[in-house]
Amino acid sequence: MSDKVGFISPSRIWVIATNTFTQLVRMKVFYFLVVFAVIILALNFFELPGARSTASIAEQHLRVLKGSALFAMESFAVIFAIAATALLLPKDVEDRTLYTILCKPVPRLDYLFGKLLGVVLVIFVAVAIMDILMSVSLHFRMSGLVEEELVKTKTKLLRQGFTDEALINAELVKREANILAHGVTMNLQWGVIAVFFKAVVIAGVAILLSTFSSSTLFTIIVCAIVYFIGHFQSDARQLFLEGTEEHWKGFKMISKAIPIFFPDFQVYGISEAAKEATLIPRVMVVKLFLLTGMYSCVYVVLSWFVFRKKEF
Amino acid sequence: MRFWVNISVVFASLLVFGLLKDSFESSLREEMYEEDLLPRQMSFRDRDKLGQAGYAVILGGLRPTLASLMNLRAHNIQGEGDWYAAHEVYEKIVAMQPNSSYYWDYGAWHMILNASGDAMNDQSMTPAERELLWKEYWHLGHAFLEKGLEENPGDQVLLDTQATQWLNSHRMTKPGDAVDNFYFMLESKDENYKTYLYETKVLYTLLVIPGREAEAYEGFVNVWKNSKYFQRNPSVRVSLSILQESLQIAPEHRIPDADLFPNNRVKMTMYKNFYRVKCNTFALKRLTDQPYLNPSLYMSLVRTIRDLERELNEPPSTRMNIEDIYTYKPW
Repeated sequence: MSDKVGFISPSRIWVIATNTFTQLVRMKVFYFLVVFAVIILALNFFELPGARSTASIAEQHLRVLKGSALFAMESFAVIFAIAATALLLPKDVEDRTLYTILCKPVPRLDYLFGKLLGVVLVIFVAVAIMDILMSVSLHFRMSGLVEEELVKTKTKLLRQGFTDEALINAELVKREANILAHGVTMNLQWGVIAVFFKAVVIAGVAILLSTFSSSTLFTIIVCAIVYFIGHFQSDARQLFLEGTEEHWKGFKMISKAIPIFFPDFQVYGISEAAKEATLIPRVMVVKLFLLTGMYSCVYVVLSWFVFRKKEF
Repeated sequence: MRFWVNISVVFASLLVFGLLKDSFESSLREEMYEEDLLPRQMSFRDRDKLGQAGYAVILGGLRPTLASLMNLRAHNIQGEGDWYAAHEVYEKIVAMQPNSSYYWDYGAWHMILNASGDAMNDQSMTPAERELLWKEYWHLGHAFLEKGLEENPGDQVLLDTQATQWLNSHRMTKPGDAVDNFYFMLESKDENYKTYLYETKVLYTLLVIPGREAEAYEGFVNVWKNSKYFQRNPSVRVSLSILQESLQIAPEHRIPDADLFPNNRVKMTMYKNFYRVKCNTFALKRLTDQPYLNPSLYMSLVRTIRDLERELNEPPSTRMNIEDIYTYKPW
């Protein structure tokens, strides 16, 4: 029997990932879902001032619900990704679990991949539960609005003197389709997936930082900074690269360097399109998936490089 | 020492990876902008307008929520009558939600109708001051609508609001432009447009403009004969009748009165109702109000009502009170 240990073993990674999942679940991380549910419930009672009834008021109601839910979803997922990942390595050291694992024939790369996969699994479950809560709530809200709007549209048409059944039916079908486009659609799910991808990338950053740092707080703070830079970098580029001011030369250099070292989180902003019911082509989601995969792999490999000879 | 070696290797690797992924990320971002998948970058001016909230919205999904909350704020400010402040709030709202016609429509409508109406009724000002403020609010509202249409070209809600406000009986300013808007929507191939609404709307607007009666007549005849929506309602019948009179259409080319009205009593009722709708007697008492009929058609309408009243021996008490109310003011 050979003693040689394979560099990457999916089954080993899976065992570590499921252990990490259990470890995080035992830390009662899913309690925040109660807060999310309350937010969703509260949003259902939100009403826009309706003194003027325009054609798009129902869609606007749904936009508000989707926008707030996606924002809450992203906030929870990102905070969770940063905190959980930053906590994992120090906790394993503290509990001495790390020694038990590393004294076995487990390559450190497998350990790191397993840890990240465990966090990704928890984020996935959390996002999926939040998605279900949002979708159920959105469905009920949308059904109510469709009913209300169809009665309103029919009454309006009759008041305007249109009695032709075919015209009324065609108009009702059109109105319903417009509102349904703002409901629970595949498009909305792409937006949710983009939120999940963003959290996965930030988890990758956190795992890289946690191999360097011995302080959880430091990792969390730096991750938060990376998250903000990732969002603001396109704006900084817009300001400094397109600006003509002489004294911005230094900033121009920095603006060019930032996207090289930091992930650009604005490309994950397709959830905005999901909110607006703009059709998201699948190819974009595939590209985002590839980008996320690239980031995660690079960050884990670099983490391994730092971690490979680290002594505890 | 090892720490620094690690740091250097990590940075060098990130640099190489960064250079490789940057072009992919940039092209992806460009594609997303082209497909309208990413919200347009907010200008720094707009960001300034929003203050701290401007930076919060960059983080993503907060825009619709923040816009809705600010909409509530604008609603409260309007209640206090501070129209400039309310308008400023709407400017901020649309900076966050430029593609939501709801806010453009709502913000413009408040300025054009409510703010200007409020100015006209403000007894603390002189009539000249009121007029000045009225105009200012009106222009602010219309400029806001224009900006909304620049952001959302061809948006039906906004085009309709714009045309309707140009036709506002309190100050009918651009009926010709309103007709253009209605024609644009009527002829649009966009399936989302409610073209059936504009088939007659455009014609009723033509009735307002002197010199376009023939165009209106042609349109009404077309509606009468070919409309797929069977629009033969009383207003279409009366419009056809007064246009035939006013344009002195030869009897052999006319749609016979017998086809338009079952009898003279019904005809008189329809005419009187048409008068009430198009020349609202209550509204016309106001300084700036105008009827939805041009002078010659108005005269034709009034003449026919009088003739019918005589013909049907209407007692003076039930005759329509017309002359003492109407004084036509050209725009």
